[in-house]
Amino acid sequence: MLKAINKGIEGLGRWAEFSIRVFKTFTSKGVSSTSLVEQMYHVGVRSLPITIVSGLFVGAILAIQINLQLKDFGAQTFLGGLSTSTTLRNLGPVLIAFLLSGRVGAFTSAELGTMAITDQLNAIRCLGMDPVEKIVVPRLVALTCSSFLLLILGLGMTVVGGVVISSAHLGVNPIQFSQNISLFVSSWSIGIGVVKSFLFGLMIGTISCFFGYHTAGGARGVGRAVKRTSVATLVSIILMDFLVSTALESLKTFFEIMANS
Amino acid sequence: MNMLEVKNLSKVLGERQVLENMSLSVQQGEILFVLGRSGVGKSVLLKTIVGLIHQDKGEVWIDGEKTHPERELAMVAVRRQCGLVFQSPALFDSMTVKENLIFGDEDKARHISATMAWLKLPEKILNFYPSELSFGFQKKVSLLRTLLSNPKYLLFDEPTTGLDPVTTNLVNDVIRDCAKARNMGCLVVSHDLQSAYHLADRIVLIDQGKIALSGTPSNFKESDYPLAVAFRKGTINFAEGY
Ligand SMILES: Nc1ncnc2c1ncn2[C@@H]1O[C@H](COP(=O)(O)OP(=O)(O)OP(=O)(O)O)[C@@H](O)[C@H]1O
Ligand SMILES: [Mg+2]
Repeated sequence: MLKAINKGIEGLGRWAEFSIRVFKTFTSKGVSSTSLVEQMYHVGVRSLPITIVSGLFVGAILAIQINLQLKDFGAQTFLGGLSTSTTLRNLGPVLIAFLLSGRVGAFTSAELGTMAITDQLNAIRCLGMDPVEKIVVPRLVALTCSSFLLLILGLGMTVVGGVVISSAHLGVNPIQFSQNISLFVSSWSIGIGVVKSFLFGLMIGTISCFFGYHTAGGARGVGRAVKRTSVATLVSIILMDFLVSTALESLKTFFEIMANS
Repeated sequence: MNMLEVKNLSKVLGERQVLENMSLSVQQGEILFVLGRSGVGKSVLLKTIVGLIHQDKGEVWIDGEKTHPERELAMVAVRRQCGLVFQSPALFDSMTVKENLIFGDEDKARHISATMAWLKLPEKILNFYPSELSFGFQKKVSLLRTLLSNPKYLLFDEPTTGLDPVTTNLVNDVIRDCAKARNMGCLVVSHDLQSAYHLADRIVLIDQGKIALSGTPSNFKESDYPLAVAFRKGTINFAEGY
């Protein structure tokens, strides 16, 4: 047990070290725009369909759930506001990040892992170049940016999903739905969604590149890297969600106290 | 002092002492063959020389300067001087052949045609992806990629394994040209005895992580060291040993 904790902490340290190294390479060497565009296309554009579909369904499911509870109190007028605010702040980013971690995180760690075990990363070193600069940085930057943009898009789609299901199935038309959104959804909740989306994108990017880059031990090694990537991203997304929510709530309370005094 | 020297190199991987106190040297214009059975640590030796694997003990010297594998930046210069041709083709599979060849330095494009002709590679493959090429072509492209960076020393990891006799001869000719016409130092790791007789200035035989034999091809032909005898007979009993 103690050993496992030790190993976990050690892994966390190595991940942080790796992320810092990638960040330093990025700030000192920049990133080539051609490989960035190529990577953005690979991970970003190709993930559009799954993001749109999952965003719609997440929004719809949450609207149905919340409607069930509101109906008993005859408070369906609040449906739009409540469901939009819960989705944007919390469940939306988490669920979409889960899907993206499976879509792009697993892809990236398998790709880098295969490059590692077939000596492709070594070949780059032997040509006198740094694989972190040539391979990891473009992937990580593309992954972080596109996950972020996809999450924002996905969040937008959750609202659409909520509107559609409410008018089609729950008997709340779009006008009623949007009437009290502004009551519940402040710029603060949108901000929380955006901050979380960025952090989740960063987690998916750094974790999948970290495990992929350090793959060793043949096909089994690649399998292990992908497995570790999915477990680590899922756990870190949940933890991050918890930490960010509590941190931002305290920050908000702090501001409110400051404003009142 | 223009040579690549390996001094007392030792490396343990997992439970096994893969390299034990290994010393050898290659001069410019010379071809040294390192022979050994599968799994003896030949690839590990080459990767250690260019710092892809860090040795536990021992040193690597290039032209009278010691290398520092722990300093990644310092190794860049070393790797530019010592081109390693990997055992697997190690081509970037998401890029075309041309992109593989000019990776990191577009200037190399100027020399592609001449070098391709040397290796008898048709230019039409430039737009192919590595997965669309046969293994033999992939190995030639991999060799071409290393040659284009024009190193002073060339390290070959089993350059002829898995190739047909015609391609084997072609690759051997290229190795000889590199050493004799271009004055590069060539360290060839292999278990292809025919090629070794054909090309080598000196042969080193490694057994159980250590150098068992070192000398000219004719020394090797006369040796009665059991593994040398077995290599000559071509009847290594793979059931034995490892
Ligand atoms: N990264 C590693 N971790 C642990 N053991 C390794 C590693 N790389 C190689 N080995 C072990 O070192 C030994 C030598 O491997 P190496 O690849 O150098 O053999 P080789 O002589 O090149 O064989 P072949 O002719 O089959 O290519 C093998 O037993 C291998 O299992
Ligand atoms: Mg080998």
